[in-house]
Amino acid sequence: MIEIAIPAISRRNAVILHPLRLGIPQGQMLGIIGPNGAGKSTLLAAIAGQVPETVDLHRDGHPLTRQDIGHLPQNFAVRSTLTVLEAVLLGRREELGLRVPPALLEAALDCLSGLGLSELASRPLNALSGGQQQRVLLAQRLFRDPRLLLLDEPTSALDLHHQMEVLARLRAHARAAAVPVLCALHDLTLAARFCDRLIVLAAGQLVADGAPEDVLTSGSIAAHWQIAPEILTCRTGHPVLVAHPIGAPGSPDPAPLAALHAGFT
Amino acid sequence: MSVAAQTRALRSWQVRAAQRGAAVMAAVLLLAVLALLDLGTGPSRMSPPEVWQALLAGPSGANRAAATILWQIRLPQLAMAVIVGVSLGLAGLLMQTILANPLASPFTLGFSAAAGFGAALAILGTSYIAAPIPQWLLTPLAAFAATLLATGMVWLVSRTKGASPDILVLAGIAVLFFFQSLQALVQFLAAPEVLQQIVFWLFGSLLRANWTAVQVSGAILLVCLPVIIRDIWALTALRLGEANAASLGLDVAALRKRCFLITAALTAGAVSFTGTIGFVGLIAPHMARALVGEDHRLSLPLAALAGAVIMVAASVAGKLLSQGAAIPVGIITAVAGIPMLIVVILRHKEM
Repeated sequence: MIEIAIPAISRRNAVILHPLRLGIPQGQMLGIIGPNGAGKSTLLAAIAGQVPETVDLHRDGHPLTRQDIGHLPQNFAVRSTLTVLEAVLLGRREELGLRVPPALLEAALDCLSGLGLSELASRPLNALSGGQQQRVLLAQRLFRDPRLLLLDEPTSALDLHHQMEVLARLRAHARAAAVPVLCALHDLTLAARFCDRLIVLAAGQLVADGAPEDVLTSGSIAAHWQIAPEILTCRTGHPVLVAHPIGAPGSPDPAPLAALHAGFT
Repeated sequence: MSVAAQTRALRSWQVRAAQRGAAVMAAVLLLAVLALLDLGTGPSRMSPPEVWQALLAGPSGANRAAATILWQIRLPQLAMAVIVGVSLGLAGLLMQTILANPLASPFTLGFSAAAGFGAALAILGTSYIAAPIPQWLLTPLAAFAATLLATGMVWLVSRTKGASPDILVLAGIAVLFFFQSLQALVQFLAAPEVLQQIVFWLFGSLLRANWTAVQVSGAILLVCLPVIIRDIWALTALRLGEANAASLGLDVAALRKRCFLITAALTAGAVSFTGTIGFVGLIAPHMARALVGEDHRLSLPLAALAGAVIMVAASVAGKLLSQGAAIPVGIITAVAGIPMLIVVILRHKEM
């Protein structure tokens, strides 16, 4: 179990994240959802130790340091001419000497292979597309094998196939390495499909926390995202979200749903 | 993913490692050839066999004239050229990496201007009052102190406004103009014959090299080297950008401050005795990255070697172009540096 206690985080006299506590079991894939500006990135940056405020972080009662955390920020773009393989090796820079140990080199190649990136190993980073760069940097964080993974929209630059592949790979990593994976996500359908648990942030506050089917109700989506949601169930039983603009002909009226949601919370 | 792709990747890694090793070896070889050429050239026109014999005979060789020329003039000048080149090459690459700016160098960020002001002030001062220590030692000391003063100014700004690259670059540019103006003021106040001395110092020349200078600059370089080597992978990680480096558990601000101090020490050690030598610290890192990429295990040694090659080549050229009085290296590096910089920019769009 990883326990996180975050104090109020303010910038320019405005509170952008209210104090919150989170307990995350090992191996859990936790999705952080919420509209733009809700505090998702701030929450991840705070846990990663990249805010001046002191964040309390424990794993089974022992404190975690920055070295134990793998954080993939949102603004990942790189202009470097380092090769993909060099970039992945840097994930474990503490173990690199003046010579790269052969075992580490092989492990890095395996890691690339796991994300389908072997073909790109010798390419310079600045010759890759945004989506390829994002997968390489994700491979680097996975190679680091941290005690806690924090990923800020790890699928933002990826096509549909790679979105599914990366999220499935992350969930498998969480299970196999028994580490919690925290992902900020925008696609609610994907979040519901791949996360064990979702938390909803709105205006810097934690407003919902639970299993995807409990959190993603028409009422809560209408209230926080300002859309008229239609939740369908696909053949596999997973919920699928269709978003309609509020007031569009034929779309559900969000007002009663939001009122219903307000009654619950 | 196929095993074939993995094998290919491993093979290409090995080929790349071999190529980059070869680039470093080639640079060492080139430096050795240039060094021999440098020892063999000079206004005294010693023949190659004479130079060779004087070298073998040692500092107390029977041929006194040859021994003095070689061991008291040419060798310390060569050693100084190598040390200055290595120091400026390393300082330039460190600066460009920590500031993520291809234009950063000890010259463009005011360190050299500060050293020039210190030296000018010392030369002007001793024209009025007799100094208790000899001029050849006082001027470098003043240059060194002024460089540290400039570093202190940038440091103060970064203490209050944070050590972000933009803040450091802006502070460096402010320092550059500040010390350039002070330098101009000192020149304005100086009598014509003193002014001539100041201007000659600002050219940057190896003529002032002696074994004491070599020992002091060499010692500073040796002290800095282990600190740089310790951070070699951290510096490579910084090429991925600040956010990515920080999320790999790297304390970027601390690394930046540490390297900034190292850069100041290396620059001060290099330019205090020789005077302002520009463009070496700017071009050597670009050459190194163009040849071996951004892995600092290779780009740092190659930037050092490239700096030394440029300095020694400039020294040879200065002596060959003007047989009587060698053209100061500072002038050669500045004149030759600009076309070299343009070639590097054109060949490599990525900095």
